[in-house]
Amino acid sequence: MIFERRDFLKLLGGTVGTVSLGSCGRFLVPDRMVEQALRGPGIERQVNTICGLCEGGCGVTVRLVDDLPVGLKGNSRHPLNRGGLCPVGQAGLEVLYAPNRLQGPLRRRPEGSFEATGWEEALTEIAKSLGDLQSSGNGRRAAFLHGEPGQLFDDLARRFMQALGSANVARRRGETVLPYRLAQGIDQVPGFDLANSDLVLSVGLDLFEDGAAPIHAVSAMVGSRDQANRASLIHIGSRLSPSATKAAERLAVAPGTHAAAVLGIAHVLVREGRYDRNFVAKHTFGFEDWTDDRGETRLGFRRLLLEQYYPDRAAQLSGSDPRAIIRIARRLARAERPVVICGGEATSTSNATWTTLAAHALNALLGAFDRPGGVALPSTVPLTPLPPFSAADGAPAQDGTGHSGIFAAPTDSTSFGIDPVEALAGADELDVLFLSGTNPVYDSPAGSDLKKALERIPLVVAFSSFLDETAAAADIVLPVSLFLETWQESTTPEGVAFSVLGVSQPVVSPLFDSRHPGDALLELARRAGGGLATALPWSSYEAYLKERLEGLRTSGQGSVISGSFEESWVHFLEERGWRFLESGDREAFWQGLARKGGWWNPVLARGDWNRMFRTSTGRYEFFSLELERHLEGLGRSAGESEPEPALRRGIESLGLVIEASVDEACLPHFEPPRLAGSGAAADALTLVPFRPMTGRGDIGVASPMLLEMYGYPVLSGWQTWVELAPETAHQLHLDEGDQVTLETEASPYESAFEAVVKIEPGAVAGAAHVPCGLGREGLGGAADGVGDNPVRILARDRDSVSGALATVSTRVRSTLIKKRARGGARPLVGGHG
Amino acid sequence: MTAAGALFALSPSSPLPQPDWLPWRIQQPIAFNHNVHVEELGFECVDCHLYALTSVRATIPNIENCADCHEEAQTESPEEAKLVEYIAAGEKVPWRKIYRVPDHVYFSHRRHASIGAIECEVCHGPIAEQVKPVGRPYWRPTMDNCMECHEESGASNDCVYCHD
Amino acid sequence: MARWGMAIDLDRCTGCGNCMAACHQENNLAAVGPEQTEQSRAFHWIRLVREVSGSDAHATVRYTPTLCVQCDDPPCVKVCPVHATYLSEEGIVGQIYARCIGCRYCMAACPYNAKVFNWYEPEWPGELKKKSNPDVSLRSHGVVEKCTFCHHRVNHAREQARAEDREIRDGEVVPACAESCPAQAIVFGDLDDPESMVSARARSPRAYRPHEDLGTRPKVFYLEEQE
Repeated sequence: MIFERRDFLKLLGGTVGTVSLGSCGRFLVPDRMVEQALRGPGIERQVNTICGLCEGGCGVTVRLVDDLPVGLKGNSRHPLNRGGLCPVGQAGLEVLYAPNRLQGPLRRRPEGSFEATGWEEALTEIAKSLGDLQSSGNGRRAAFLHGEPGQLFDDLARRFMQALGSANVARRRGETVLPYRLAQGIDQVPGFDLANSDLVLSVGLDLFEDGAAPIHAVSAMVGSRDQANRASLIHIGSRLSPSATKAAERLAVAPGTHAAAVLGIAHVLVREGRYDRNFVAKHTFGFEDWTDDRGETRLGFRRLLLEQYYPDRAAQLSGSDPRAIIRIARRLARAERPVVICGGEATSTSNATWTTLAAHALNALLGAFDRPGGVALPSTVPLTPLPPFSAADGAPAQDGTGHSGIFAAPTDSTSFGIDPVEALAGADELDVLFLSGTNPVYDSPAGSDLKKALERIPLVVAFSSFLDETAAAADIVLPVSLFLETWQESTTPEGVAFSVLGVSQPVVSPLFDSRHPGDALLELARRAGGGLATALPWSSYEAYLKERLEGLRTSGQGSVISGSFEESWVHFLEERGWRFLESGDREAFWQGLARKGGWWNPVLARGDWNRMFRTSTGRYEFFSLELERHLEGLGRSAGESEPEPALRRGIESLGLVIEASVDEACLPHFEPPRLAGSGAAADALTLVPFRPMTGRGDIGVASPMLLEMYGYPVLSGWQTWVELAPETAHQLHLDEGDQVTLETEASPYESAFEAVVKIEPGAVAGAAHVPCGLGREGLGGAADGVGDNPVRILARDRDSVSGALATVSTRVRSTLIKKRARGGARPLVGGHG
Repeated sequence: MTAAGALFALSPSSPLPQPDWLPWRIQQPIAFNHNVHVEELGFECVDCHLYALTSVRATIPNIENCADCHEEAQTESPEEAKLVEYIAAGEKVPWRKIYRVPDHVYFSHRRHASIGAIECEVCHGPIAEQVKPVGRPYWRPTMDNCMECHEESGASNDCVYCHD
Repeated sequence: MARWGMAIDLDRCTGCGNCMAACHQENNLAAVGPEQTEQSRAFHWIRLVREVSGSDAHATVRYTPTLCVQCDDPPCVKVCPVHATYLSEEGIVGQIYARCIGCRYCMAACPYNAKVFNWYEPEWPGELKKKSNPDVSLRSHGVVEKCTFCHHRVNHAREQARAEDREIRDGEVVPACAESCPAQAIVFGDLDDPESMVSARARSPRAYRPHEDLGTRPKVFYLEEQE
């Protein structure tokens, strides 16, 4: 066990680290911990909690020796990850013990630098500002932007702002829900039942590395199945990611052209009659040509497909192979339970909504809705509803002016929504802004705009564990406890087909003077008094969670996370109309929740088509009537009164290229992606930023291990690389290991960043794939000055329909800075040195 | 150990490393009398060294264990008075460890005392008779000594059983 | 007595890198930093080796988790002048850091490039040392290290089995890489037990051992990808 030399080395190592790494901070081992490590008996415990480093919410089991956390592994019973864990989760302890974590609240001095302050002073100051807003009825001069993974925190933040009289709350999420609203009428990303599917077609999403819950995808498709029953993967994308290499079939397409390939597949399904006729007839709208109220014939999806997207053309539009398109379509048709999932680079473009609509239309053609291994809507988590609170105590329940808040799309907007970061960057008349669990200054294309906007806002409060780029632009920085130090929750990640609520319990007392943002909000409400105090009466975030989660017990639905035997028993009972009764009282239930790590409900309400399709037709809409109304509305406000010209005018206002008829705009179709910068220069490359597995979450890079294995698939560490196809590299006279700058004139702020060339056979020609997550400026510690951030130079472009910021939007040109040293490319991991 | 010397010159409060065997007696902060506790009062080893049978380290009892009896002085002993002071102040007794194995050796009390059913006296000597505090190891935990005993008792001498 | 072995199903492996990270944490590996990484001195005891076939858009890349294969006839043992590396009773090739003089003969002899060398004292910024796994000793500079099949976990399992007066059960010993694998691609166990999961996988028609022709008789089996 821990003997003296080891403990001595601990101390020595820490000291050496401080000396040689300079900026890594002081050497801080609390005495009580040293004492424990030195003299403790070595008693082991395992505690279940939830990883809080990204939005996935995997269950983790913490190994403690004498109450010190010394190891993390996946919770083998957690339904999301079933014992697996990603490299970022594995690095959890390195993040917990990172020397550059914030150790106490910071306050900006008038001249700009930060000084340490106490919670008491910081909260008093914020509460005073809130009290002023409250008493003057100026609540809407406050705003809240967060990226916390849990629904319950979002509820609390919304209630906090509502009590203040503000509608300005937004949560940054992965995928935009708009396409699913247009096609299905739902306000969520539906679940994709990967665990029961036999063939998953992933459009643009690196399914095993990216998306809300990649480890769930691996465990559901491979890990929890025996060899004969594994699900196959088909991947459509421009990059040869590790997921793509593991796919049974891969279709390489040019960036932003996924929709063309997908519609080519749809064409083959329809032409060969291998789609689910029964489902299409009963549950869809707009497949065949149809006649509207005015008696005019409108374009149906079938005719659009057959006329426009024959494989040769689809392949030509997407730069792919027509034979592969036909092969994939037939493979989908042969599969018993195929499902199509869309995300990643396919939804990071100006045509993202139509691409998602095209991919989702395949689900409709395949009849994938409401069947095992298809598209599902996870059951609602039966949380205790929040008690109503009276607005009479001084704060209006709604924004007094009827204004729907800064995060709603402005009235003159052509898109359905507005990116919350862009909204914030453009907002004036804000006095107080809260930011929590999000780092938009660093990771949003509108980050530079936001940074300027933050300077204008008198009081910016950032909750953060590190002095990251966004916190560094705040006035007060409040240190946040990490997931191993506090109570918090995680809710069903986007795209998961069952509902799950993870409960994260503290396994170690906070190392530093930090709190959960929920606790800080509750304390602020108490101090500000008035409507805020009435609306948020809970003594702590733990008490709030306890009250909300009591609903899980009383509902009798779902069960506390359990082993596989119990699980099948739950299924058995539920399928026969029985309820699985949780044993014990309120306290016992809570204890069980915390001990096991959460609650889940795998049971789906089958056959509830009114819940599945909440469009005005009650069907899956290939032809989106809501999109038509929106486009017509745009045309009307531009002065057209007749439907058809109004639709045409609306389409024009989006700047679209429509080939067939105006109806095409309301159907899934291929719209060429808008790419700004470097004109049509022959040597220009399309910049495709991607998030590697090691870059999940914002703070993982505080771990030296993750930085070192950041680019393990391409043997790269501690640097930003750019993946080029061999013919592209050849054309640009670049070799593996060359250092280049990638430049564009598209960004209003910065024009270039640096990267190291990695030649990636299998990447499509003309694309430059660059990982996000490095090039940190404020995190402190090991990550500072490592690599570069491609997001800085992105053109400011949006998805034409949803308004979400596009990241595949920019053309760049490369310039060689330094040729690779002679002697050939060295492998990252050699050993011989 | 040169580096060690340098470090400890910098941070005197850190626990001092000690060689495995010392030719001199280590002075303990209190002249603890095993004989009184074991022979006269009838305590078993594990009554104070709580984890000797169940865990990796036996642990040396400290004020939280001693306070069960010594919250108030039981005798006139000036040594006990020191302990009572420590307890009253809530301060840990800075016992010095005598038995040490290097970092690259895995030694488990449970494996020896419980699973191997080796009596404490085999390694720690006739400690029940000892009236003075433990100041030097009865039996030096060197590799020769370990391997000799392993050979005699038929325990494996495979390297990786003890070196991790 | 057990003969420990491992089987890695490449058909299940998704190349997620969790084995690398889990091993790194379990065995107290330290990041070597950017300068050392630049000189190829970054190391992992298990790593994903990338093999590219083809060079155009239809090229394929394969990731193979690679670790010390624990040969039954290990070339590294034959060249070690100080008996720091040896074949243990249960078939694990041990590396005794305290004996190692850092001559690196074993690294030169190893046909699998499985051994790594600590060029410098590992650096642990700030408090990172504190989370080190107490079961695994920290290596200083100048010694060779490699995958140990997590033999500290084997020792724990053996201790537990003895305490309960029974044999170690199949599946009771799980190395960190196998434990963290979400695809359950890695199986560990006793190759001499015909009932064990690992020997069942080793008998699979898809199974092969790396560089079998060298006569090193590795105890790590790979199961080839299907399709």
